[in-house]
Amino acid sequence: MSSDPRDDDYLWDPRAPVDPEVERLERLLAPLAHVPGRSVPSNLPAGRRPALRAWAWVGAVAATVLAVLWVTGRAPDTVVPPPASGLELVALDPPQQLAESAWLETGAEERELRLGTVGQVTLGAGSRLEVRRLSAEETRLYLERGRLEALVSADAQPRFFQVDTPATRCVDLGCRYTLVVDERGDALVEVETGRVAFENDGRAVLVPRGASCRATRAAGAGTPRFLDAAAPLVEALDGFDAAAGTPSERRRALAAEALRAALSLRDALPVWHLLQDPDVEIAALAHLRLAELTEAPAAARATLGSAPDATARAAWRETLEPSWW
Amino acid sequence: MALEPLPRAAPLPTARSAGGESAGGEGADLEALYRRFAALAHGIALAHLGPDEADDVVQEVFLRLSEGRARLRDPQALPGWIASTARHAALDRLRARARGPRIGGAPLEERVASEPARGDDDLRRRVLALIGTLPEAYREALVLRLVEGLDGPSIAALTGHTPGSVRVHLHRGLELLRPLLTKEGWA
Repeated sequence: MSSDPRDDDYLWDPRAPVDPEVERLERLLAPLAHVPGRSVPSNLPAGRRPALRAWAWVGAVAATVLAVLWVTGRAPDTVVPPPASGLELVALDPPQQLAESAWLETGAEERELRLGTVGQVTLGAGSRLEVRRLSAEETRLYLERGRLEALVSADAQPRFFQVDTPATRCVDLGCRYTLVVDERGDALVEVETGRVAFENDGRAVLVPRGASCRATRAAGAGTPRFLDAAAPLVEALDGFDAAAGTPSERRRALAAEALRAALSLRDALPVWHLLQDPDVEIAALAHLRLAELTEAPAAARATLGSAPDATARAAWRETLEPSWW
Repeated sequence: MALEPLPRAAPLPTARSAGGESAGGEGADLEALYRRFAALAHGIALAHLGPDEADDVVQEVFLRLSEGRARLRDPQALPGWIASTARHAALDRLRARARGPRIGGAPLEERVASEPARGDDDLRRRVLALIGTLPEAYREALVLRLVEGLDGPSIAALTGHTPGSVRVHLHRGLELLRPLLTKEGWA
């Protein structure tokens, strides 16, 4: 088969002439498809197991939405969010409601916090946390020191949950992650599901599932890498990140070393971030390295050999993201 | 430079475009949510978990919807919410298992390496297990297309990816899958 996606007409649209290989896969796998009504839970915990049959709870969905529409008088195409006043941040054991500007400090034990129905935070022992903003639009905490494990529901819109640290702002994009702030105020995030962004002064660093990133008070966010990255790449990236603020020749040499150590599509995560480096020489080197790791998307080819523009960076991201999630 | 926003949910398909019935008005449209989107949730769960728990994930997604826990601001976000909730629910279940399993009950590598194909059921599970080894975006697109029977434009509309990226995901996914199938004796 051709390597051009445009030749996969039947895979894209079953109305196209049949591709026998794809059709055989379809025939084999079709019995696994969803069957309406089969989704009545069989092994949910007893407390959560509904007594209703599938179509009855579909009716419940309809009734819930209709009730909201009736109460609010909104147009039938609108689903209404809960009121802002409904969001509460509560520390458990013992229960303690936290308002904006409140501080919470843990001793020898960790403490669990619930953020309405959309978030759960475990604050590690020896941590100190401030509530900076608490609303239905945005919740922002400040982790001065310690360890914070956050689980933010898929219900929450991206960027809803943010944690400031002395070194950076950690923005949730729908996920579960652990953020640690040391005594110097430097931060480390490890992402278990979804993705977060470290943001400093208009620069954002994307940290997807299975990746980590450090941020220092001096230089802000560093370069993300996957937790299973090879040691030479990790060491080279650490060296490059530590060289922030040094003369450009040294940074370029360290960047080149890190780029040489990037050998796979997963390694392209840090390389993609170097496309945004303010030093155009480093950005251009990263651009070339990506094109060595995989075929450059059409929109990025025109700028190969120089620093990529926003279009090229976006094209690279679209190409590379599937290998990161 | 701020990161470009990630792809968000596509517009909610109309009852007609989703193949549902619209003659019954609002009530019929709301009841059609399950008919329209259960396959999306199921396909995504299947891509991460395998067949044993996919139905439970579909159940969980629609229960959460019925409980009003979705903080949806407009109906256009609904497909994205369903996809994202199914993905998170599947990942939560994966975490609850011992580290390693992805498709079916045993660690994926063991299943692929140890089980001889016997009949369509075995082959079906093994092929699904191979799809489960692909990058997430590829395997979700392939499962939605090959298992759930959605066409490419529908996958794009439901997942919020651009049609171009879905096409690339399908194409590259199949390219990666092909040598694995050959190794499995898929002629």
